[in-house]
This record gives sequence, structure tokens and C-alpha cells, in this order.
Amino acid sequence: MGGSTGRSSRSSETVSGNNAVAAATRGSKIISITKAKAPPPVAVAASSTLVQPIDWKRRVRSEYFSILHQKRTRRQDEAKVAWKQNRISMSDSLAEEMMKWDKTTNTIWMCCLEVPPHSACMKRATITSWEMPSPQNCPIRVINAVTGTPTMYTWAPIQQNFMVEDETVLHNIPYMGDEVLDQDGTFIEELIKNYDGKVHGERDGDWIDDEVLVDLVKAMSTIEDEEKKKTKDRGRKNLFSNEVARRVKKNEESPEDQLQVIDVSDNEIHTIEEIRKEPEQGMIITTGAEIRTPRNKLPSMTVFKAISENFPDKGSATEIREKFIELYEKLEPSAGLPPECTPNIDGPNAESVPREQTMHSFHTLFCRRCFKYDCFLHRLKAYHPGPKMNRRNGLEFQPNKVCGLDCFLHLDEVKLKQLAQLVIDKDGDASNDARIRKIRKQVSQDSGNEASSEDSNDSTLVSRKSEPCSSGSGKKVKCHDSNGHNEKSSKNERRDSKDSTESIKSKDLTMDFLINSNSNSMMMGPSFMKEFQMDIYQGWSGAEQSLFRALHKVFLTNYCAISQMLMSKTCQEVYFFAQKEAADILLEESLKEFTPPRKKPNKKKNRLWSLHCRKIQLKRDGASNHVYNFTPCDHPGLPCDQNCNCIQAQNFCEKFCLCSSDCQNRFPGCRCKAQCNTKQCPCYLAVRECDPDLCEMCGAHEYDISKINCKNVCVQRGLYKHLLMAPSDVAGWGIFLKEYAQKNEFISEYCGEVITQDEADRRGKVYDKYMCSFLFNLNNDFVVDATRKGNKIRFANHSVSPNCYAKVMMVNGDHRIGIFAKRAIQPGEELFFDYRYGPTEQLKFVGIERETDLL
Amino acid sequence: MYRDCLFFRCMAREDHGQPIFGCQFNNRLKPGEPKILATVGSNRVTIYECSSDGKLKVLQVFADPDTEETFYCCTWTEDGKGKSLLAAAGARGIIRIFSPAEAACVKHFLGHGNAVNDLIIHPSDHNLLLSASKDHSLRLWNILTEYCVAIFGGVEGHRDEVLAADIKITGSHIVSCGMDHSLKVWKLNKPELQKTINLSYTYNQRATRPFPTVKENFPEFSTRDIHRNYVDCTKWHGDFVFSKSCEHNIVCWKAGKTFQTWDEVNFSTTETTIILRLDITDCDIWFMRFSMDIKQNVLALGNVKGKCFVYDLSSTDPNQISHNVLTNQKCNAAIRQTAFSRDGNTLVFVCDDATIWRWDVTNNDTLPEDTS
Repeated sequence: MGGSTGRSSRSSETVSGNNAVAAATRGSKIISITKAKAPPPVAVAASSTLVQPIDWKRRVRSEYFSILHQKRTRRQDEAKVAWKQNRISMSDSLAEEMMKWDKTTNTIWMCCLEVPPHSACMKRATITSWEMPSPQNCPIRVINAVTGTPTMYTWAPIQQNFMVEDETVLHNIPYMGDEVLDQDGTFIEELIKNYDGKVHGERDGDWIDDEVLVDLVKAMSTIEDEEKKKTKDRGRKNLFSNEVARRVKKNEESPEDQLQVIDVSDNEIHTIEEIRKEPEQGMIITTGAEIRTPRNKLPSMTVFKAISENFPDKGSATEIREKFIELYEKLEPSAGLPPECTPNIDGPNAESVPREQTMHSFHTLFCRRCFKYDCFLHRLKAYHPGPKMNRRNGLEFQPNKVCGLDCFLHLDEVKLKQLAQLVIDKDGDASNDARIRKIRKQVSQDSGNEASSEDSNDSTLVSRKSEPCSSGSGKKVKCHDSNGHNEKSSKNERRDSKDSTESIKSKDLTMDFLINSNSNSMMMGPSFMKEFQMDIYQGWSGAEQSLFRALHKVFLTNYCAISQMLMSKTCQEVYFFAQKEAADILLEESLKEFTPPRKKPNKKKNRLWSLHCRKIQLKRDGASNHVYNFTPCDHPGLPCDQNCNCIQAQNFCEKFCLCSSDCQNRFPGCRCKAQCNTKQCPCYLAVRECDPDLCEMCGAHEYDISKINCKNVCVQRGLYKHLLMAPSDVAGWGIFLKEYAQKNEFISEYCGEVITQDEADRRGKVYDKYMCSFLFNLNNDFVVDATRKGNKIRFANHSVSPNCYAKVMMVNGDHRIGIFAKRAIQPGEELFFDYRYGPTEQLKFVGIERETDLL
Repeated sequence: MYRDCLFFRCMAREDHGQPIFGCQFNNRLKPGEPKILATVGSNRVTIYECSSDGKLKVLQVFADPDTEETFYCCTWTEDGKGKSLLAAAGARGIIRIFSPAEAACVKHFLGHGNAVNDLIIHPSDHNLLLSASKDHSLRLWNILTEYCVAIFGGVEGHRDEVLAADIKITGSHIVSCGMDHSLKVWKLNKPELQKTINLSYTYNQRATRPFPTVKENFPEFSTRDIHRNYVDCTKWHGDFVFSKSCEHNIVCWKAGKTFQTWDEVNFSTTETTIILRLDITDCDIWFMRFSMDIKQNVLALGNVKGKCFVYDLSSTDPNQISHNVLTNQKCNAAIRQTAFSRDGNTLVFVCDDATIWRWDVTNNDTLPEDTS
């Protein structure tokens, strides 16, 4: 209650200048309404000092009514002011408009009353009226006939499927025309039943919106606090509550005390108001502190339990508590963003934050299947697994030459390190350019493999250790003196320390230490940094610091490159900063889990691809006709066996799965040199489009479309034909081919909203009634609905002797519907396909065929 | 009080016997010109003169050759050269422009995929016509050059028939409402839209290539909290919006908090503030429209039983808005639409039984007998 009252008084001050009067009326109104419906909450609070234990449920109820009434009164007062303001501004603008109109208008009434020459044979309209003794007559002028366009409801064009959530509440009852409703009275009933009786706008139970909920919880928390205080020093309280207590006692006797009309005389109003003000002011003061630590100020579970009992439709006590925390954070802007993401990563006010925080949006919003933010297809979390946290290897850009006169490579410090490395190095002549190049080549080869492991590439490790200190790789130097020298090793990359032959136990210890120290430093935060590293952090804005941390992960020790990206810092500055930062980065890194690395598929194994593939194909041929949606599997540490969701759904594992890349359930791709448009191609045979990451022989991986031999990439590359839309020769709108198409050539993808089978059942009910359906079965889990969103191919009509056919293909982990030419099609031909032969050969909607009859 | 001075003057019955869905006064005429009224119903468009002797005089009758056509709505505009134009549309989705001076349908617009439920003329540009359609969209047309400037609908647009719309007096916003229980506010003063409007004036069917129509998929504001059923009429009232559903009342509301302006409201605003509710009895069928006089002081809405409720909006307290009920023994069919003449002295409403009823503000001492 406190919070809301505080807001109300603030807004009234800012808005109405004449609030002296308004405040007076408002004050009296609050009381008159409280009088009528609910007892003032303080009265109840006082009552509880006498009667124990406290009836929280009832108190919530009374508090709820009190809040509602306050809100209503406040709203009415505000509405009055707003109405007045609006009336004034509106009449001003209207007056202005009318003045302008009177001056400028020149329209006079001109009406052709001439009787046409053929009026004798014209039909006449008769207008009757009681006042007129004889009816009026007027010849009817029949206007020119215009042929209308076929029926079409607005749809949004898309070129890719779009997943939408189920609607469990009927949006609105569709109007089918009075005839339909008369014929089939049960239709609407059945429709509503499909939604479990839920239609928009039907309120059940007590209504409580977000704002009221927040106010209610706040009010209850104040009461709770008070309650605690009271139990502490109850002795002193006896004085003031005498009178109130008497009243409340009387009130207690009546069973429906919330609705009881309490007769409050004027004197008592004052006392009650004064009492009421106390907690309010207290609340206003506390809110400041609350903003920062809402969780600390949460009322106890008793309160939420009581609220939940009053509003069962709002969920359990825990749910309400969660909801409150969420709402509270939303309503209080300063408590806005979740702690893990940074409020602003750019601009002068950007904070200096760890890499994880900077990258938070990227990690949570970036779709790793579509390579874009907020992709509309893989909206469910399960469809795009998070980043593979394997450490990146390779891609280590070594600066092979100094970037300028002030390059950090000229620093004595760096040169010394290089020298030291040279001395340690056995080969001695590592400064040889050729040698460097050779090693770099080796590294880059490695980089092709996304995650080469520490244990599997021992050879690499050796070569790395012996790698000369190619310019700037300061860490390599320290690699060797890392053992024992703790302080220096903190500058070292964790990789190296892990590579070293330390025992597991000691590793764990280090880990513990790192975790502890990391959490310490996080707790200390910026102040810690300021105290100890003032000199280095000075001159680095928050944005620069954050960006450095993000870039450092990619460019490692290539400070020249980082400097180039930063643009505002020289590589020397970057170098010094990096030295200071190294400790922090190490800590951050250490917390990351190293997933078991995947081995690069053995070249030898590829020879067995055909065998493997044939085996899988056999398995699939034997399988039933059901096709399930693909969801990347994620079962760390376990192989893909019958517990793997891919195997259970009889799907191949795809590159998006978190299983190892040599998983037996992975589709190997094709090695065709031809066009991949016959059953010779294992991809084609498996009704899959060629995967650019698997099929390289056919050119599916080529960026430039003109270089692709493969004909089995049309859906993913969007190589659709030019289509023209026009009124159909058969019914409604039709779609026509502008250019020639060969047999089996790709025409277009059938795009639309991807909805669940359940949702499709609900929608289909209405579509069937309208006798117009754009539903298309995608697989056992999902249906494509092109009603609201789609592309032009949605206008292709049904035919029993069609010139096109539809095929659901697995395209990079997604099922997509391709429309292909059944025979050669001439330019200008209208396109048809047989709706009954959906990809899964399931006739979902009988209504489909009727569409042609109707349109 | 103004509303108390309204007295029944006369009625007229059209011979088609079908509901008359719309009526509009020609409020674009110079002061001193006659009061011209248009009604639409069945496949007919009829033009009347509300003569000073209190009668309804038929001037012209148009009929569509297609008997499938049922006109639902009409609105008056002008050609800028001193002549009036009348736009009408209905079940077939074809918008017709009539010229009473030539006694002919001079233009028509094809584009909507289904019936047109409402037509509105831009308050400051008489060439811009907004149409609300059963095809879930609204279209903005340039009548002069016959170009479709913009389509409002799609991704976040209406999910069912759009039943009514209105353009703010400043021309900055459109409000639309429909069967999906929603009210949506679209921005009309966006630079892209303004550019296309300007471009549409340079368009010449023969000479210029067509340029793209603006497709607005996202309204500026959308709410489903005001009504819980089909919303069939909406009108701007300054910064507020009046709207009604078939729930026996009219609601005056605004987006956002009470004192937020429209500039502060955007697509992420979910809050609405209800300023007032006007209750009415027996108003539970849809496609019943109210109207306000040009000064927005009076609002008139009819009900199913043929009673017309007239509310006085000039009160300073929204909780003390008084109303008057206009009744006539013989008027007992559902009132589909009401209309005020420019001077506000004549109120006309049309009914399901093809009747038109005229009420006048009378200062005569000899008052007609048969008022309620």
C-alpha cells in the first residue's frame, strides 16, 4: 500500500496545479470508499495485536480491496484532470480547424437532377414516409459493373519458416456469417471446447493485475515488518490502540468484516489517517534501499501463501513470489537487467565488465543453427544448444612483423623475452623466418579442426613447446618457468599449465584456488582494481576494457590486431594492459569447463563411408513412415545409443548435436561428383539436401552459387523459380510459373508458420469451416501453416493430375517442404499439386479438397 | 441542454427493405449550403437533402448491378474543385466513388480481398481515403491519382475482420478496431509513409512506373484489454479514443498511463487507462456505430430496440456525463449508424428495417407532440 500511495501523491502534484482542492476531495473520497467496503488496513493490523495468530489470508483480502479502492479513486481523480485537459486542447484544435475550414472551403452542393432520357424505362426507387401523403419517386441509376478480385485475407510474406507458440486461449470467436451458425449451432461450442473453454476476455475469479500484485506484496511486507516490531514492544503500543481495538473488536464479531460498513466519525478519521501515514512514510524511505536489494526485502513465505490462497489462479506461493521478483525488477528501472548481462557495452557510460558479461547477449540470443540473432525458427531452447565450450585452438594470429615504429615488439621487455626463449629453445636457430613459417603453417592446419585436444595432439604440444618465441608470444616464454613460480604462472595461459605434467590433484587444488580468488575479485569489483591497478586502467574507458577482453579471446597475443580493432589504443598500450589483465583472464578461463575434445574424423574412415551409409539407409528404409522433428542431442559423456533422442526419433545426428563428430549415428554426407539428383546420391536417397559441411565433392560447400554442381541444395540456397500470382483458371487465386521448369526441378519452398500438431488441430477446425486451409504436415511433431505468414506458392491449387509435387526434406537439421516439378512445365502454366500426397502421406484435413469447390 | 432540444421531425423508408448500414452527412460543404445526407444499404446508395422544412427529400439513387453487393459504409469528400464526392463500399470489397454532380460512379478501387467495413477521409487531405476491410487489413488510397499508398496489416496487424477505423484530427495516427477484440493505433506521420503519400500525387497511371506501396506490418500500439468482444466502432476524441464493443457500453480510453502523451507511447507499451464508460441498454449485436458532432460535444448511439442514446460530452467531469434517450413508438429496429449535420442541429439515424429517422434541434415554441 505504501508504495502506491506514495506514487499517487507524487503524480497528483506534478500534474494538477490546483491540487489543493483536488487533494481535499481525494482525501475525503478515500475514506468514504473505505468506509463503504473495506475496513482500513491499520484497523486490522491493530486487531491482530489482540487476536493471535494472525489470519493472513483475511488480511491479504482486506489489503487487496483497500488497494483496489485506492487505485480506483486515484484513477477517477486523474481521469477527471486528464479529461479536462483533453477537452481544452481538443476544442482549441477543433476551433482552429473549423476556422481554417470556413475560410478555405469552396465546395458547394452540385447535384445533377436531370432526368435521363430513358427514365421511362428505368426502375424507380420509392421512399415512403408518414408525413408525406404521397411517396417520393426517384429513378435508380445502375452503375457500371466491376469484376471483383478473388477472396484473399492479408498474409505476411516470408521466405523461411517461422515457429510460433501454441495458443491455448481462443483469440476470438470467428464470425462465419449467420447462415453457418444457424446450420451448425454446435460448431462454436466444439471450438471453445478445443481450447478447454478458454476464450479471450472471460475473466474468472478475482481479478488481480501486475501492478496490484506488486502493491499488495509491498503492503503486506510493511504490515509484516510492523507486526514484528509490535510483538517486540507490544507493551508500549497499548496506549494508542485502545479506541481502535474496541472498534475492531466490534468488527471481528461480524463474519463478513470486509464488507462491513464501519461508521467512522470525523475525529477518528484523523487518527486513522495519521496512523496510516506512518508506515507510508517509512515505506517511501525504505524503497530507496529496496531498489538495490529487492530480494532482501522480500516478505516471508506466509504472505505469499496467503496471497496464493486468495488468488488461486495466480499459481502457488512460490510462483507468485517469482512473479513478484520479476515484476519488481521490471517496475523499478534501476533494478532492471538481469545481473549476468551488461546494461550497455558501448558509449561513454559503458562499464568495464568481464568477457562473459559482454558476450551475454551473443551467447543467449544468437542462434547457432542459423547464424543470426533472434532466429524465428529455433525458438525453443532445445533446438539450439549453447556454445560448445571447447577451447578454441589455432587461429592464433602471430604478428610476423612489427606494425610500426611504436609497435610493442620494440619494447625491451618483449625483446628480452624473445631472447630468453631463443636461449631456451634447443634448435637455437629458430629465428629463422622459414622455420617460423613452417610452424605457423602447422598451427593453421590445426585450426581447421575446431577442437583439437590437449591429450590427442601430443605432437602438436611438443612442437609448440619447442616453438620459438615467434614475436609477441610472451606466454610461451613463461610456459617453461611456470612450474614453481606461482606469481609468474598467473600470467600464463591456463592451457599451458594444464598441458604440463602436474598431477590431477594439484590441478584440482589450483582450480579451487582459482575459483576462490575469482569470486573474491568479483566481490571486490572495481574498487579492487582501482586500488591496485589505477595506473594501467586509467585512460581505458569501460567500453575499451570490455572490448579488449572480448577480442583477447580471439586474437590472443596479437596485440597489434587488437589495437587495430580497438582503434583508440596503440599496441603498446594494449600490451601493457594485457599484462595487467592476464591474471584476471586466467581466472576467468579457469572456470570454464573443458568438454572432451572431438577427434578429427580419421581420413581412413572415409573410405568406409559408403558401407556405413548403406547400413544406415537400410535401417531407415525398414523404419516406419513416421518422421520426427530433429532436436540436437546433448548427453555429455555418453555415446549416442538408444537413450539418445536422435536415435529414438530415428533421426541422424546432425552437426548441431553435442555428440562427438565421429558418432556412428551421424550422416556421412555424399561424395558425388555429379549433380546429386538421382538415388545414387546418398543424400538424395535419404531425402536430405546436401550438407555444405559434409558434402564437398558436389560443391555444396561452395559460397558462389555458380560453382555448385549439386542440384540438391536448392532449398537451403533459396533457388526458387519466379512465380506470378493471378486469378486462377480453376478457383480463387492461382500461381503461375514465369519461366520454364524441367522435370524434378525445384520450384519453391512452401513456407509458413511452424505450429505443433495440437495447434494445427485447433486451427484446422476453423479453417475447415471456412473451407480454406493452408496447413501442410511437416513431420510428426509440426505442421506448416501458411495462413498468416507464407510465400506465393501458398496459392497453388489442388489437382488430382498435378504438375508439381511436394517433398519434405531434411535441410541442415530442419525439415522443409520443397515443391518440385512433376513434369516439364512451360512458362505461364498454372501450378498445381496434389494436396493429399503430403510429405508424410497423411491426409490431415479433409477440408482441403473443398477449397477448390468454394473458391 | 442541447440534447434536450432534439425533436423528432420525420422518417423515410426505402423500398429495398434491407438494413441500412450507414449514413453520413456531407459536412464538407460551405456554410449556407443545404444539409446533404447519404445512406447505404442493400446494393443501393441514396442521397437525400434534409430540407429546412424538416423533410427528407430524395435527390439521387444509385444501385450496383451485382445483387450480391451490400454497401456497408460511405463517406463524403470533394474533388478540390468545388464538387462533392461520395465514397461507398461493402460486401464485395470494391470501393466506389460517386459524383453527384455527374450522377455517376466515376472511380472504383480494387485491392481488398474481402468486404470493406468502414471508410474514412483524412481530416486535412481530402484525397486520402482509408478503408477497413474484412481481409484483416486497412488500406490508404489516394483518390486523385487512384493509388494505393499503404496497407496496414500482416504480422502484428488485425487477426480478423477490421470493423472500423478513424484518423486523428492532426492526421498523425490511425486507430482501428475489429473482430479480434483488439484496438490498434498506427502511425500515419512516419517519414516513409509521408514520402509515399507525396509520391502518390506524382503518380500517373500511363506515364509513371508504379512505386511500392508501404506495407505496415506493425502498429504503434495494440491492446485487447479494453473490450472482450468484437470492437465495431472507434473514434478519436482529442488524445483519447472512444470505442465500443457489443457489450452494452462505450469506453473512452487512452494508451499508457493517464498523462502519457502519444509521443511517449510505443509498441512496448501495454498499459491502457480507461477514462470513462458510457453505459447503454440493449446494445449487444455488432456493427452498430456511434457518431459525434463536429465539435465533439455530443455522441449518439442507437440500440437494438430502436432507441437512440445521446450523451453530452461537454461536461467537465467524466463521471457526470448525462444522457438522453430518443424514442419513437414506431422506431423499434436496430439502429446501425447515427450522423450529425455540420451545424449539429440535425441528427439522423438509420435502422435495420430500411428506415431513416431525422431529429432536429428546435427552438420553436410549438413543439412536436410525439417526442418522448
